[in-house]
Amino acid sequence: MSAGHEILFPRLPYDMAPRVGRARGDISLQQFVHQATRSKDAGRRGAMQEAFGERADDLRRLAGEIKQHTLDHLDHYLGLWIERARAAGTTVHVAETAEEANEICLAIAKRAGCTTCVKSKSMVTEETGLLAKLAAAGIPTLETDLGEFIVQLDGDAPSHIVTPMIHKDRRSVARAFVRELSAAYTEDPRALTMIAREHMRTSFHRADLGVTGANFLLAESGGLVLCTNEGNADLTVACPRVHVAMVGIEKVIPSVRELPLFLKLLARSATAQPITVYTTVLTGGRREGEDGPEESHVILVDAGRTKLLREEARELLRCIRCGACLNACPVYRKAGGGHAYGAVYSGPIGAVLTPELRGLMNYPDLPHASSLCGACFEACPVAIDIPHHLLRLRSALVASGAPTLRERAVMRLWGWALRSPARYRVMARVAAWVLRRLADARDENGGLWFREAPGPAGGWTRDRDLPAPAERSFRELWAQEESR
Amino acid sequence: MNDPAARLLARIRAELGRGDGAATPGRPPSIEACRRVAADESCVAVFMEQGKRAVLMVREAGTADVAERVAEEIAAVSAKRVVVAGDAVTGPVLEEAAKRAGAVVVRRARTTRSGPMRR
Repeated sequence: MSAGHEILFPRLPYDMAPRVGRARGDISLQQFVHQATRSKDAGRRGAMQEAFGERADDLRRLAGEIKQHTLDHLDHYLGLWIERARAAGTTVHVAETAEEANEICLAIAKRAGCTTCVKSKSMVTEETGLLAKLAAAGIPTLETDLGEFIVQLDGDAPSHIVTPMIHKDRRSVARAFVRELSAAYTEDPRALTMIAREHMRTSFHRADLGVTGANFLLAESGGLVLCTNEGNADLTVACPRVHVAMVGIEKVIPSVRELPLFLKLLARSATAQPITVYTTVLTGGRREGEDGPEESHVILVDAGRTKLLREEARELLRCIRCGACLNACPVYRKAGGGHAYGAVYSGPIGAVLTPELRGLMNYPDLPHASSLCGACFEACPVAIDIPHHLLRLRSALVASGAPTLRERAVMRLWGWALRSPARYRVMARVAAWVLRRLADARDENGGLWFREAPGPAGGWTRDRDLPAPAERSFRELWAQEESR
Repeated sequence: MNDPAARLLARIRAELGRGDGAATPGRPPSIEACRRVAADESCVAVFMEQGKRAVLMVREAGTADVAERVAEEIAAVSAKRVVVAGDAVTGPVLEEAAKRAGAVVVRRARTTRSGPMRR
């Protein structure tokens, strides 16, 4: 099993702390992820504002409502898509589990006598671990998304939904190309891209199996929409004689009428572009006199998604995998990117999707991997209230008895104090008095700080200072203000 | 039920709490609806003090009916002193609503972009 596989499929239950600890100490990693996410987040805000101005939030809400409507009637829209796609010549398969999806893909490849595969970026195939399955059956696969290609060369795992190599810089890419492709060392991005392109072109022409995902399924026409900036998905579909698209069942939208709204929001949210460079709608297989694959298959993947259709979780299936919430999230940034989450889906959306798909008790840390600042909700182009779902999962953890005895005791004491304003005031005063006496440092203005906080609070001061409570509370200042 | 697609659709219907048949949906929300939304919906937030304890937030409402709704809410909790938070458009509307409900506006704050008042 590769190191990359171990990153996305760690031993369960998953403990986030060791990887976060390592990432926190890696200054280069912190810089890469910080710079990349900050610039993408700023780009998204600028692009949304420029295009939609004051209406940006209304468009996000509308897109969310359309996805919600589709999910509320998923039986109708998915049924319609299956019917129309079959009528257009697509062979539609259905997989209940990730394993079944891989089996179906492998069976298609074997029956068609495929020996080599090219693949464009697809989160579902990451989820199912398709590449390992194909490799075990003697069908090597080349990742054709540039970021995924580099990650594959390094035996690594993607660290971001949209920009999988967010945790790497051009020097590490240059080293990988020298090591794996015997290329001359260069750090020039254009030269690096040309090296990758030359390597991939040969594989595109040689491969007999092309695997893609899909960004959207259009129910009314049975179409499948692919968006890439490199055109690699189009080559993956067009060159090999067999095309297999592995798609989550939640990707369906009603028709092509709704598509422009989603394309506008997807491109701006993911990469701050007005539209993705290559946007392709595929409907059915190859027609008379046209180029294209001899066989067109779509595998609809459930893998736990129908369970998310229950009312309390349904909203999560709106996600269009733009990665905007990852770029906006301060925790994702400080955790050094997606590897810390120990799963295919990382960041805020991963912190709720992964426990839902792979078991809450297998990922008890993830719902807590958030400051609940709400930046993810503000960034989401389909208005998923991620903080609400984080709190819902935290409640479920508490209800399941997951908190330790100490946590329960502290919370009980806290609750007891909060139930009475008088008790709260007394306890806050006592705590402030004690903490001010325990503070072990002063700043240039005479303010008190902890360099090493006592007891469990010491976790906070491992990486930063902690201010001691102010001499006078907000309540006291407020009362003084009012009495003037 | 041997067709995997039929089994999938049946599972979906079961999770959606529907019977055997697919309900025919109405039309999906359209861009036209969005234009209407843009015209009359804005974000408002109201913090109220009842004694020292009650905090109420109205997070979103159309400005057309917001004054009435806020006044109702204020009356419902018998608030006497109200802290209003709103932007240049919604702030005055909220102040007027508070006064209409017989409360005193003790403070006007700006809406913030993070924390509990975040839109």
